[in-house]
Amino acid sequence: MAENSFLPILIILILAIVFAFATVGLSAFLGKNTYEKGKLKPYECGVEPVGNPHIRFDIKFYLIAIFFLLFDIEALFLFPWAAVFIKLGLFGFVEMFLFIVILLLGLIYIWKKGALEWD
Amino acid sequence: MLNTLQIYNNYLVERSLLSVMPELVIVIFAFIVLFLGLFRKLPDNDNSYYLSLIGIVFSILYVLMLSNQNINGFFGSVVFDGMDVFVFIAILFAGLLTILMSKKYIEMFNLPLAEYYSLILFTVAGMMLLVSSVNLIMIFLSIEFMSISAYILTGYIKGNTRSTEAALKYFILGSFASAFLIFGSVFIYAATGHLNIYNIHNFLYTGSSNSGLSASIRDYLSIGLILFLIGLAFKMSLFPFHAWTPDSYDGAPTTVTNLMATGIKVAAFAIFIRVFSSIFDSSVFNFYNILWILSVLTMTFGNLAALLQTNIKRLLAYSSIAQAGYMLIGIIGGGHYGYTATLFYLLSYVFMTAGAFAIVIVFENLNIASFDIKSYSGIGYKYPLISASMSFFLLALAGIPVTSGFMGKFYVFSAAIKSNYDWLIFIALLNSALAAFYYIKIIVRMYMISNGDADQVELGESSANMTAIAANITPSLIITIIISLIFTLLLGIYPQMFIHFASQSVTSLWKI
Amino acid sequence: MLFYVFSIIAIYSALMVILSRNPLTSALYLVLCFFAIAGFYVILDMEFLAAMQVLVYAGAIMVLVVLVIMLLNLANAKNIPKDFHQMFIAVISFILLFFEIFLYAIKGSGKVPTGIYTTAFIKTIGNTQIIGEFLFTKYIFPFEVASILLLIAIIGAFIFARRKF
Repeated sequence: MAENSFLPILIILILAIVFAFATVGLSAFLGKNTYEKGKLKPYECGVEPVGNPHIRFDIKFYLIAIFFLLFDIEALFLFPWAAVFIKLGLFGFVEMFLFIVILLLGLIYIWKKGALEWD
Repeated sequence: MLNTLQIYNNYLVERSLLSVMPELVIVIFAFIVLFLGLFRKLPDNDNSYYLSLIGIVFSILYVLMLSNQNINGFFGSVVFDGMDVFVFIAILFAGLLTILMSKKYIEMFNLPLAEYYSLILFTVAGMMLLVSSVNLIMIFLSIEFMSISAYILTGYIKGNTRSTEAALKYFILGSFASAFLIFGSVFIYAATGHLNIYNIHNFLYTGSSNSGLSASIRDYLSIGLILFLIGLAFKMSLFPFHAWTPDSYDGAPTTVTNLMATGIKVAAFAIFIRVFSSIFDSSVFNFYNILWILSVLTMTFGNLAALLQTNIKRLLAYSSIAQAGYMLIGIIGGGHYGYTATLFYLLSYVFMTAGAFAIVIVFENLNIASFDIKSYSGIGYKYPLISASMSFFLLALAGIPVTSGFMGKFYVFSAAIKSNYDWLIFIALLNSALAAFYYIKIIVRMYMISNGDADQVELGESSANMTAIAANITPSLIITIIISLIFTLLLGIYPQMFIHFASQSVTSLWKI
Repeated sequence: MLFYVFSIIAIYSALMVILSRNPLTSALYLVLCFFAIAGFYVILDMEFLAAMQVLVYAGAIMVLVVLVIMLLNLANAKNIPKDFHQMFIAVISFILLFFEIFLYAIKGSGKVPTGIYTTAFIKTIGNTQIIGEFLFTKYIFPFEVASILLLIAIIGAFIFARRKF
């Protein structure tokens, strides 16, 4: 049982890789290839682009990404917990409850501080 | 694997919670402080300051209440024993003094106060967890706990380039050290198959008495232990791993510098004593030789570099590196007596350093002196009491008799002499003489008549100065200085009580 | 056999991370490196760890790395002068580390103790379950401490990145 439980993930992984290669490959194979200098521009028609595309990002994006990472790790711990939930019973429930409450406090903190607002 | 039924039947959770109660109190107060700052927008935000003081005091009371207990908590993750009692008191005093001296100082920068105080509490909780952890995973986790809070506090002055730079350097080198630590833990685990240091201890000593450890186990273990030592040496700021110390001590807010210099150093040394006394098997590798060399290099480098400094915070940073070298001598001396001496030195070091930093903060608050030592000239006549106490703390750091620094050095050196490390003591004494030179240099400068312009300023503003002092030296700073003075003196003239206390706590190390 | 394939991919991509000129290319090679390391976990029958490696490192952490690259203005960073002082230290530490690994590969190949949780035994339970049971019984305390650690990290991220209070 344990050996097979990860088999679907492997199949999806293989399917994803095959699909990615297949779509790119097929469009290159079936499509009509024309090479022009104009095709390399960001916009093929319209005004000429002005300025450097490498502008500095706003730090707000980064903040959101960090929050995503931290709550992602929280979600990660839920997987092994769910796998043994029945066996642990109330004890496990209380542990996970505490864990989530502490991280929820973090969410309340950043929410109240206005870190999630996009002004 | 543990059975949940067994957990309920043996009151494991209750006992475990009791074993981390002092830390838990601090963490709960940190949460309260953090969230009160969030919901109540009071103009006068003193409540976080007072709440964190109450938290520390509660935690001290808990430590004293539990002081006779010896509890194994959470299935061999943490332990509460006599060692914890002594070191917790030292750490909690470091936290208490830090919070006391922050009152006026941190308000000057116009920074959010609630986060500041709750992060201080989190750092203190991390240090306490570190000291009480007996599991390699728990040691790593609590080092991260302590350090991450400290990284944030180091860079707390928003918009100050020096503070940000200090935080970045501390963060990068600290993460590097953590990598060494966890790499070492992996090797130790690979060699012994245990994570709990008592289990590792049993594995090593029962194994070697039966058949001897196999060669491959020895190789893995010696590599693992050396990497582990390197990881901790970063936190203790021993010589080749000290590079972050001057920069981050200099750039951090002075109160945070005080917390790093006192609390983190105490916690790192305490956990090093705990680990060193249990799993650093000298039949695997002669660790005493490594420590010997590290100690000599640390002392000599710290003192030589401190001689050249003109910035008071950098000078204190290098002096704290040198002090780490002296503390290591006690561990090299080894045994019951040596560890007792190191613990005593740690406690006295907390009060000396906290006192010195408190006075640096006084001068900083008053805006009368920058960090440059040159600006200290003539201060001794303007502010006689403060300068006198500064001189006292500096003399204590230099190790002049009557102060706690002298007694600390005395015990540490005599521990090493007992174990026949004569050359080490010779070098250490030379170093002490060298160190006295730069400490006394500051004192001389404070009582030196400065030339021309400083006197004129003093004459013109002497009445204005008095009101400035009254406004800027808050009662809390005075309390900080008085507590530090009392303990520095008490540890110096009546050390027996504290030595007895320390030796009791060291005894618990062998009650495995 | 599979071990060598993953090793070669891991070493090649790790080298390309530091050798490629474009930082975004480095980031993508880093993803490849993480995938190769996930492969090692699969070989060791630790499928759960492999999945987590891909989810957290190749997923979440790489988002951060790419964002940092975009956050820094790398147009200015293209012509940094080469620092020979640094290079010297790097070469020395490379030689030392290589020597250490070499020594290690020769000497440390004996039998070391293994616990009761051998690969065969883990297979009968399933490794997600075994991680869960350990995490929530024996190591509950580190687990709860980790949650407070994450909370502190949230506060820290907010404090460093905020504009105003």
